[in-house]
Amino acid sequence: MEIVLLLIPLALLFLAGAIWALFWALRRDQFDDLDNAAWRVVFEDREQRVKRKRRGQDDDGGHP
Amino acid sequence: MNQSLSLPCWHCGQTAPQGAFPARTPDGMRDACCPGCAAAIETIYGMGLDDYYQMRQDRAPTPDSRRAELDLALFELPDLLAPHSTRLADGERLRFQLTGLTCAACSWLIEKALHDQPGVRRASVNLAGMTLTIDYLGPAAARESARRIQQLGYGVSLPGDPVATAAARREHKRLLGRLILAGLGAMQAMMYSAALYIGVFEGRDAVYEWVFRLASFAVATPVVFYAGWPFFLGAWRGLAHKQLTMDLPIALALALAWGGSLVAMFTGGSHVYFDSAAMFVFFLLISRWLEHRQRQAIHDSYARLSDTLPRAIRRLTDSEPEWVSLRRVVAGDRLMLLQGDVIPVDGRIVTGQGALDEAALTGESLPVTRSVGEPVSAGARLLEGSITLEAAGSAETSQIARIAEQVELAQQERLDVVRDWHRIAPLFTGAILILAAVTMVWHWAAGPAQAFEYTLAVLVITCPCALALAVPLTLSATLGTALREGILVASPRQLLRVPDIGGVLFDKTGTLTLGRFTLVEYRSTSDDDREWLLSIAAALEWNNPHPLARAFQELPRHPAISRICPDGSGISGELGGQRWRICGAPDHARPGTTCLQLCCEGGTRLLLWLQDTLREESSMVLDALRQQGLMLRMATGDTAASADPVGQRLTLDEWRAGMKPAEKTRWLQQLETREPQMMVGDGINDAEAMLAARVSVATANATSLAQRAAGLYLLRDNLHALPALPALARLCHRTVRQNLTWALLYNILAVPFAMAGWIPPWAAALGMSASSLLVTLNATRVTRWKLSCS
Repeated sequence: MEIVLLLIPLALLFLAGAIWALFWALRRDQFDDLDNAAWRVVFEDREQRVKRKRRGQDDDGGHP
Repeated sequence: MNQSLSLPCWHCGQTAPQGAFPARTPDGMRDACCPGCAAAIETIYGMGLDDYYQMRQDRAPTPDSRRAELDLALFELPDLLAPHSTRLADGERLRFQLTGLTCAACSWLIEKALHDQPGVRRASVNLAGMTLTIDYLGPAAARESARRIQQLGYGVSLPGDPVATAAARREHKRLLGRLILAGLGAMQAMMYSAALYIGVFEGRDAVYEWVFRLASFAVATPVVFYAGWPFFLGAWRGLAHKQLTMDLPIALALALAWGGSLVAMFTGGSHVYFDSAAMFVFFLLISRWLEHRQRQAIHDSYARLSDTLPRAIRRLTDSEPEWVSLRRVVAGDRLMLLQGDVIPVDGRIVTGQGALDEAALTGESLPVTRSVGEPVSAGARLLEGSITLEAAGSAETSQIARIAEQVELAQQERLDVVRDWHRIAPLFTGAILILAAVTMVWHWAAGPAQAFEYTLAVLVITCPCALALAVPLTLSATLGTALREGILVASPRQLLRVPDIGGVLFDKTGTLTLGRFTLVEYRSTSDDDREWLLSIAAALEWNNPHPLARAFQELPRHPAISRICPDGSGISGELGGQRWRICGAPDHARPGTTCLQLCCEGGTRLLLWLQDTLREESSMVLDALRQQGLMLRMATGDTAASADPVGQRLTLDEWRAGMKPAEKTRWLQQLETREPQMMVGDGINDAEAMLAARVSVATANATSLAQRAAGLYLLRDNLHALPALPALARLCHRTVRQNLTWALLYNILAVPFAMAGWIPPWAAALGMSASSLLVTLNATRVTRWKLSCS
């Protein structure tokens, strides 16, 4: 049971860390546009593939 | 090759005659519908961003080339640009307002295109707000970026009032921060309290219980005083104005729960209520957050409407034109206006002549020709020719500015979200405070700790959470549903009033009709084949900005016509050495139509009758409205000759022609004294009447001033949504009523038990949450509504 005396302050520290991280993200406009970020991943992926294809190193064989 | 094939435009999807505007790309020719789209396609392929065409989910908008130059001019005027830019350590940051973004692919395209722009360090698009933020170095970079965005086919301008926008963003962030803190804190506090409630520490060392209480104090305190600060502030402000606000019992409950628990912690009391306080704040903030988001969405939709008047204009100084901001124009200034421009201020023509489209101002569907010495009004569009205008006064003194000012005022009023339930707030608050006091007195004999616990339970259980959520949640769901079905609700209050209306007043041009001419009949006056003559007429009218010319856009064109040029009152061209000309033939006009004639070397060969066509769905929509027992009327600024056929065709109850804006307003006010009216319109001339109406609707093609004036505006270019509005409003009403009834019922049922001391504060907090959840679920039922099934 003594471990609680250590774990609770530790949990509070984690909480403080989480809150700090969220506020940090908030200050940097990370929550401004939630739709765009989800799509960007897809676009960048495509871009990489197109670049590889243009260089003639199309090894993934996905496109005949 | 007499027949030209029509294909969808590669860029925007509108019909594009094959080969009319070819865009050269590495993958071959692409057909576009206009030079703007062709340029956009070439730009996109040229930058190697053609992936856009595979990734997009929606067609791109057709670029509006008429505004292009004016919009770019904004970025050359330091006094317009300065309030929008912030100075960074290395360069400047500027926010643009974009239009025409349809999906995430658009934002990708813009960011990629600006990435390689010299001088631009960072560009990021916010799809939700349709804004673009760029960090750049050197003034040319801003202008070049704007030009590049235009080349891609999007509209670009400066956002509205920068100070207000920045303030709104700050408030939005602060509220989100409070919500995050409250959510995390409340979860943690609950966790610690759960352990305390279950009684795991009974019979153990008191130090454990003390540690848990301390932890729950540590998480709840910032939640109460940082996240919950708006409630304390609201309560204090209310008291300062001698008003009982809903914030008062909330603040009181928070202060009591926190203060009482602190006392209990040090005096060894039996319970602490930090968790209840934190939960309380969290739930209340959710409702605030929803309300705020809704208000922001309305505000953003206004911000995206383009300005009715240009913000920058060409002023002639020593006959050399220079761009100046509209605010700097004073009486006597000479302004240069080219084809496509919107007249910025009231004034008088000093040189040149031009055809002006005054439909938005007067309802007159045909363009009017004005020449030297004649007055012109701000808001009209110059369709043909170029003129020099002498300003009669500054921009604020023009007729349209006065209307715009009224519209602006109405908007401000609208942004105060519907809080009609706030009228019952003082009563409700007073009752809660009295009940709490009675509980305290009643249980005082059992000891202060006991009395305190019961009082707290009463304050928590009577929390207006569900009550506070009932209206904003339902409205938010309704507005979201309406938006999905193509109706933008700028004023929730007006939507709720829809079931009360007894009549609808329509505008004619652009509302019941398309505001667009079509060919209804054509007759050859010689032996020539009339189809052949028509193809010559179509070739002459091709690419003419005049509204009548749109009737010819989709007709086959004679390919061999050369030297096409406008010559004042008509258009002429050459075919086989002969001079052909198309111009008006007012002598042959029939009621409700406009007549044109095609001449060859001076002799008439073909007569054509054109008519502003009714919207396809007009009669169906009007029948549906009539079935709901509504009186249908029409007010138009157009002549009786063109209004009567429309009125008869649609069997309207009453119509009046030749009405000036003020007369429309007066008529509407007269009607309003009998029963509430809905005004449906699209022009600047309807704006005043819209403000006077109980409910106002602007159509999709409406001028931005009319859209700003309207409480609701249609996003799809048809009227189908109109008959469905009462059903949606009734659904919203019903859901709000259900939610309010439930919330009140729950409070009334639970209060006696809480007062008797049968409900511990944690159960009260749980009950309150369950009640809120029920209200939330009920509100989401609204989203199942569909336009077709009503």
